[in-house]
Amino acid sequence: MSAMIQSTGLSKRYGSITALNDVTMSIEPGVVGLLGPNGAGKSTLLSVLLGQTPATSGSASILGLDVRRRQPVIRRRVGFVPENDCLIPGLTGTGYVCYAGRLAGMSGADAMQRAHLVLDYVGLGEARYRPAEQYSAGMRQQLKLAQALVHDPDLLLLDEPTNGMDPQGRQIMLGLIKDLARAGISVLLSSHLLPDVERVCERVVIMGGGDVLATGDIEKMQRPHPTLYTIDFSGAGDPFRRRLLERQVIIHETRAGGGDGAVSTLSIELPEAGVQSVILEAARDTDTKLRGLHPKRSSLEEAFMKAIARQQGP
Amino acid sequence: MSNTTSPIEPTAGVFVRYQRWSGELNRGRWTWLAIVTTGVRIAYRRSHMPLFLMMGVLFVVFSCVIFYIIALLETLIGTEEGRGLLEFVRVLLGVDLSGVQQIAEFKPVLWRSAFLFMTKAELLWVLLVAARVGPGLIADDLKARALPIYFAKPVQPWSYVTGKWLVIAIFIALVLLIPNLLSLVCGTLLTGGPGTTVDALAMGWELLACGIGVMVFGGLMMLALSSLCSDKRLVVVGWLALCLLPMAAQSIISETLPADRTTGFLGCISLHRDVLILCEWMLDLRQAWTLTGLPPKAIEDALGPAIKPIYPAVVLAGVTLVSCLVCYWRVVRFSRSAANV
Repeated sequence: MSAMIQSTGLSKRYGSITALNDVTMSIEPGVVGLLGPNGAGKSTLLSVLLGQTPATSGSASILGLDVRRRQPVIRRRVGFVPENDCLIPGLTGTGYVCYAGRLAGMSGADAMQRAHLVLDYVGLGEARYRPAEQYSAGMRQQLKLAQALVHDPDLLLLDEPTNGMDPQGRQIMLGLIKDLARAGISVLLSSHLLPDVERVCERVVIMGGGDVLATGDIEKMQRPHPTLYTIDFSGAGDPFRRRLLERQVIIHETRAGGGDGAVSTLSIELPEAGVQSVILEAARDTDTKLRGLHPKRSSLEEAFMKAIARQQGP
Repeated sequence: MSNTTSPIEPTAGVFVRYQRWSGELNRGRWTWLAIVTTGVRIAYRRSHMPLFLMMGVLFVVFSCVIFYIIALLETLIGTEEGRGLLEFVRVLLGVDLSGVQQIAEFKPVLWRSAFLFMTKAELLWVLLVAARVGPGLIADDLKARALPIYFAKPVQPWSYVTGKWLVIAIFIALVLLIPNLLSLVCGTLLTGGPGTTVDALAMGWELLACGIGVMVFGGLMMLALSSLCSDKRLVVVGWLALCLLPMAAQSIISETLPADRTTGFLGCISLHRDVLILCEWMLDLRQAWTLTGLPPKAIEDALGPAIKPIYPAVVLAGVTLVSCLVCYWRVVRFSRSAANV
């Protein structure tokens, strides 16, 4: 599979400030999260990839096209959702998206037809003739997505697309991103909201201080922890807990269910990896009915914090 | 490309599947046209804009009235009514025809003087229309941080500047160039024109050149101001200051210095006056006066001391060039940081 975004030794310096420091990476098509604290270089990376900011050194390509030499072609094949509102005063939703289509190189008729289609798609069909200035924060995000989609790009660069949205709006936006991925559009999602990235992205690039700190599949980052488990059980809890403690199992948290036969939950840590049988034996010995046994998974947040901590050193 | 058929996750609010588009994008050579048409539409929707533009129609009507009066003079000269009309022409156009028995040879002078008079009035209206249309052209995009919408698309800085300039140029044309050309056509059809057909055609070209000059100079100056600030009110203040303060300064200089000392750059401080001097030169008004057979002294009394057109041309070209550079530099700068604006 050819890389969606590739960079070799990409650097960008503003005087003495290094915004991107020798970034070398290869991102395959799909939905990829771009994570990093403020000042990590995410926006600079997007700017360089869009060909707006010339890199100080190194090279980058997007969809196999060199960002220095093939800017116009890249911009025709990429849709960009900026972080800011970017509304043009005096335009309705339809007018705004149609205008974006014409700027991308569509004919007036095509742009208008497509504007209606994408506004319906993002859920702004009812509000399409309202002045865009009257849209709520969530609607503005949807409108920006519509203008990025109007010319049917192969790659979407989304800069904080769920900022300012209520929970329902976020669900809708994330649902749209998932659907776009199914339709074959690759997405680079720059966000500081880890749950959003966790929910829709297949892979993640973690940046900090202009460096790429970690890249990888989210699935792999969320690998099961070898010793941490959550146990759902019903029955008398005290004998079961005592038996577990006798076997050197550490109990971190207990959530008791209400009433007879209710399911209680234990968060435990085994003394070593691969000895899950102690849980089964303890249950058998105390006549406890196990309802579930789940290995605890590392969250993306943990991976993110580890990467940042590694960069900052001990 | 084909339409997708994958079922969508039943997420709240999402009921439509994404459909791919199989059309072709052009190479981005016409993006300026999209900027022009959208910009004109937005500007036209501003309150009172149709009224501003209606003034262009009034200019045409008023010009036609003047041309009709000039035509009437041909038949009424020497009569009591004719004397009244001559006085009217003297006050309005500054052309004293007392003692003249044949008006025909003065027609080119009268027509050109009429156009110069109208241009003077239209320029003041251009000042207002530009102040209404122009300030937001780039400033609004800066304020709304809308530049990423342009520069994440295949829009080059030159096409952005061209598109924005054409928006204001069209409105300037609607109150200056188009009324002048329409006046020429209507006046020629109604009253027989300034003389020969060749003269009418020549005047058409001269008016076209004057109009385009004002569109380029005024449009770029306003655009440069608009690119310097995201607050429209400051842009309006800057525009009015640049146009009106030199006019006031010019008046003071003209009042205090002898006329022969204001024929160089000192006579070209007011941009409004510079445009009028160049229009007078393009319309060949002095040459038209010469053809009447009047002595040079009488012509100078009628028109004032001659200022070489090179002086106002240098001033206006300088302002235009600086405006152009400022505008392009600002837009290129924005285009390079659009993702971060």
